[in-house]
Amino acid sequence: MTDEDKKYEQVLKMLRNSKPILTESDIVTEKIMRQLQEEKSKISIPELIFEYLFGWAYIGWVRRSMIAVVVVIVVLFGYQQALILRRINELSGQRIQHSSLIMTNMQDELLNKIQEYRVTGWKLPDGGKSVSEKEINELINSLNKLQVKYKDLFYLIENDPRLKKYVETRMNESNKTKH
Amino acid sequence: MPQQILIQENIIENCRNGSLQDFRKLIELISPFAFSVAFRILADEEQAKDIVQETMITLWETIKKIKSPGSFMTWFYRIVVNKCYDQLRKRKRNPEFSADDGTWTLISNKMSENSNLEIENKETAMMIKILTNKLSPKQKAVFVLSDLEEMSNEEVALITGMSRINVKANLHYARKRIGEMIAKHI
Amino acid sequence: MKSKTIKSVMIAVSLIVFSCDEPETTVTNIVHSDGSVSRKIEMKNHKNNFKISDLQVPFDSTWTIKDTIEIGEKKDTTFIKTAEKQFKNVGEINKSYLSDKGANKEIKRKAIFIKKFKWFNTEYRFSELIDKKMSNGYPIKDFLNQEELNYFYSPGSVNNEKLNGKDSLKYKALVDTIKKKTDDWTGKSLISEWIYDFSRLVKGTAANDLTEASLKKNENEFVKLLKKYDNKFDSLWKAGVILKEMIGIDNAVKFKTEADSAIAIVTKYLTADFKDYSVRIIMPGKVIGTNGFIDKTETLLWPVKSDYFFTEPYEMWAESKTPNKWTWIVTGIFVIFVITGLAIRFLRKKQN
Repeated sequence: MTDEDKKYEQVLKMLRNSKPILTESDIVTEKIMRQLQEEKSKISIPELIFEYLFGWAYIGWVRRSMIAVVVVIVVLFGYQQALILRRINELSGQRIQHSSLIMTNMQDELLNKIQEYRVTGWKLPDGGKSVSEKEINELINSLNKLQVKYKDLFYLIENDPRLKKYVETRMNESNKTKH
Repeated sequence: MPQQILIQENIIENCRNGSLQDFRKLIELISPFAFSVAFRILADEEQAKDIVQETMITLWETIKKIKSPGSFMTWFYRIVVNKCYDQLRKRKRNPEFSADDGTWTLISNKMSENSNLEIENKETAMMIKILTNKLSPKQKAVFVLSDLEEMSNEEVALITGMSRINVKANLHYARKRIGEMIAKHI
Repeated sequence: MKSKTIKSVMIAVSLIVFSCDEPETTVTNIVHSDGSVSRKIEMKNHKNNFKISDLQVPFDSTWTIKDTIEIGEKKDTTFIKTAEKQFKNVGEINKSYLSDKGANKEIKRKAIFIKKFKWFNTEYRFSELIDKKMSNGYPIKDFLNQEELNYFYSPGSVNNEKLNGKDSLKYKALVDTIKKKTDDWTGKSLISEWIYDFSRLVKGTAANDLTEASLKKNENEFVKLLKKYDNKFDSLWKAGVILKEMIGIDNAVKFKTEADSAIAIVTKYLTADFKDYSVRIIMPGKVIGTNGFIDKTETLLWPVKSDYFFTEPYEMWAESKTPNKWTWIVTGIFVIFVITGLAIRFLRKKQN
């Protein structure tokens, strides 16, 4: 080992042994902590709101409970809907396909719909009823036919005095019964 | 690492979970080590204290990025060294320091007194300053971590991000330059 | 024993005919989600004659009544009386049944409404229940198979279509089979009822061979006797011939009075007057179940005939559901909120 190496080693040894000492470490620590607290309090309002709303996701037992509740809700929903769908499908098997049960023609059906609507006090039953344009047209045609029939009937009655008298008598009787 | 720092894993974990209380404990444990490295690289007590402060702030902000508590110290030293680099870059604008003969005489005297002598911060700073004045920031860092902090090449490579060959090369150059300075003036 | 023979009464019972006097009546129950029911009765008759005593369901002057006429394609006139009333709840309907003075006043009828909150949906069940006439008869399903039961309970219009359709021969044969089986059912049920009434009347005074259990063992024999003495039942019963064959000479003499009393009770069930009608139910929301007939317009219909509650109660029920809008919304928001929170946590963890 040369002199230079020896000197080098000496210098190194001295430097190694002289470990720098952090004086006033408490003050340094306090400074750091203060700065961190200040930064923490600087959290923006949106962050705060965010933390407030979703902070629960970081708490183990709360998160697990919420997941359990959601799972229960989803399972319950799925089960309920499956059950209802199954029942509705079974019902479609019960359906009588070839005819309407008591409706003899579309006009009666429409009139029944209108009657039901009126009976409920002009409130549509839950689920609503709809009337198509076709049905409206059928109704109008039916009314027109009725008008024609009424004219024919009126003509018949007017031209037959005995019939006219009979009808008038019966109508009077009927009116009296009503009142 | 030459000094075995005993940090309980749960302290680091708690810090990752946002516990300021445990972070305070961590600061008290590791700030002397940060100071040691920073001081030896920068050779300035006040600047080294600033580096310690900045390192801890950065550590708090990035502690969640640490992949495992095992890699904590490497991460920690890396922050310290990078902060020192930033500081040294700022210094480049300042005029170079050169020691006068009186300074060298002081150093020689200290050496001749007792090789096991421990010198104070101020004198250490002065010595390091003059010995490493001509070195680049990387060379300084490698010298301090290898020869003064007594870390292995592998550890230095992990901290500085250099390859082991680069570390060796930088260390060799640093030693040579310091050796020349010592030979010339002491 | 009344002048009518059991056989002729059975024919009257098993034949599905409308009498000349009572109108063709349909009762529509429009059920609302709050349990109130808008009830509408539509009565059609070829005569302008709607006597209260002929009417199948109760209504009075508190109802809104309207009279109209309908002239058919064949120029025939149909008189239509419609009556409407809003009932606050089924209790009011049941009160009206109790105070019924119409043709079916002897029959016990009641309406039931149940509403269940099932979180995402509210389910409703509405039913009209008619109490059985005989307590000790046999259920009709012990005599008819599923196809026959379907036909048995079907409305007339549906059966008429089948009889006039492409499988008319099949259905005509089915009608004959059903007639024969319902005769058997009626006969056996009447005998079962007679056994019960007779054994009850002679309890304590008769030997063990006249208990209900022992008489039941000979039930099939009694049915055979009934068929055997088909046309002469009335006279032979009066003479005690049939009774002697059934329970022995000694018992027949000793308990003739009780036997006649039992026959009188049984005959009452047969001759109890009932005028058929139809019931419709319109439920709130979507229909999810019913034992009635449902067509493509979601009309629910039940014919009501005396056969249907001869030996068992006849329940006409329908179930429906409506979604609970606010529950869906609140639950949906909650689920989205939880999923969002979990997603945020996951993304932040991934980021770190």
